[in-house]
Amino acid sequence: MELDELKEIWKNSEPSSQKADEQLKELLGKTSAGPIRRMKRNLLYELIAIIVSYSITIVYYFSAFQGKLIIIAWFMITIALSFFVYYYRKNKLLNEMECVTCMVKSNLEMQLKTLEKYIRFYLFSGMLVVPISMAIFAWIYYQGMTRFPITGWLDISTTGSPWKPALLWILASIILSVPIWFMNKWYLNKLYGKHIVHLKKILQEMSDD
Amino acid sequence: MIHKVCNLYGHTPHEREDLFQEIVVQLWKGYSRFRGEAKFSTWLYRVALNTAISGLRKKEKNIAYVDPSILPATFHDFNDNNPDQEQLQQLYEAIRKLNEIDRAIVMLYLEDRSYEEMEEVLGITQNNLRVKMNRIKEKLRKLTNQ
Repeated sequence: MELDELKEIWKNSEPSSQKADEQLKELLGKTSAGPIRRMKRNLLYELIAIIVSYSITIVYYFSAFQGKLIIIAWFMITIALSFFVYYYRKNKLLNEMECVTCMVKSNLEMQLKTLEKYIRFYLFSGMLVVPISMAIFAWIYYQGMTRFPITGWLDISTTGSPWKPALLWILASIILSVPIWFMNKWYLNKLYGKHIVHLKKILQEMSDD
Repeated sequence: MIHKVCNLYGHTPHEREDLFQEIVVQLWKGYSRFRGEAKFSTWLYRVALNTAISGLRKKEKNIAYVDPSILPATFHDFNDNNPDQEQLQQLYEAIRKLNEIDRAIVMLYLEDRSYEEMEEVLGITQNNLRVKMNRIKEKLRKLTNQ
C-alpha cells in the first residue's frame, strides 16, 4: 500500500456524521474542557473559597470578643493579600501557557517553559508559606506576650532572652518547610510530571535530526 | 478535517467527542484573532493540531493507556458504501501506531499540503519534514504489510 495512492481515498473519507448547526451551537455553549481552562477554573475556585472563608473569619474576629482578637483578623488579611499576589502570578502564567494559533513546535516549547516556571513558583510559594506564617504568628505572639507576660522558655517579652524563641521558630520553620516542599514536589510531579516528560519527548521528536 | 484529527488522536469515542468539542471551541474563540497573516487552512490546522497534541492527559489515573491498535476502530463513522473502506481502515490503523508528530505530518501530507505549509503549521524545517516523511512512508509500508 503506497501512501501517495491513498491520498484520494483519504480526501474523500469525511465521516458521514457531519454535525448539524444545532449540535455545533450546543457544543459552543459548553465550557471548554481543555487542560489550561481546567487549571484556570480550579484557580478561580480556590480564589472564591479563600475570599468566602477569609471574609467570614475576618469579620468574625473584628467583631467578636469585643475586638480583643482583632490581631488575628489582621493576620488573616495579610495572608489573603499575599494569596492575591499568588493568584495573580499563577493566572498570568496560565495565560501565557497556551497559544493554539501558534506553530505547534513553538506552542509546545512555550507550554513546557511556562509549565516549568509555574511548578517552580508553586514550589517556592508553597515553601515560603510556612516561614511567613510563622513570622506573623510570632509577631502576634509577641504582641500578646507584651500584654500578658509569662515566664519560661517561651518568654519573648522585652525582658526575656530573644535567642531561645527565635531559635525555636527558625527550627520549627525548617522542620515544617522541608516536608511541605517534598510533599508539593511529589504532588506536582503526580499532576504534571508525565505531561512534562511527554512534552519533552515530542519536542525531541520534532527537533532536527 | 476536524473529524480526521479527532479520529487520529482520540483513543475512544468519548475522547474523540471531547476533542471535537475542544477544537470547535478553540476555533470559535480564536477566530476573532485571525488576522490573515497565514492562510486560513494553516491557521485551522494549527488550532486543531495544537489542541490535539498539547492537551494534558485528563483522567489518566483512571484510564490505563490502551494501545490504539487493539481498540476496535470506529469506522462505522464513515460511509459504508465507500469501496475503499478496507484500505482506509488499514491506513488509519497504521497511522494510529505512529507517534503524535508523525501522525500530524502524515495527515498534512495526505491532505496534500505543501512542505512549506507543513512547516508553517508544525514549525519543523522543510528538510527535516522531508526526512521524516520518508521514514514515515517506510514505517507505514512495514505496518501495512504486517
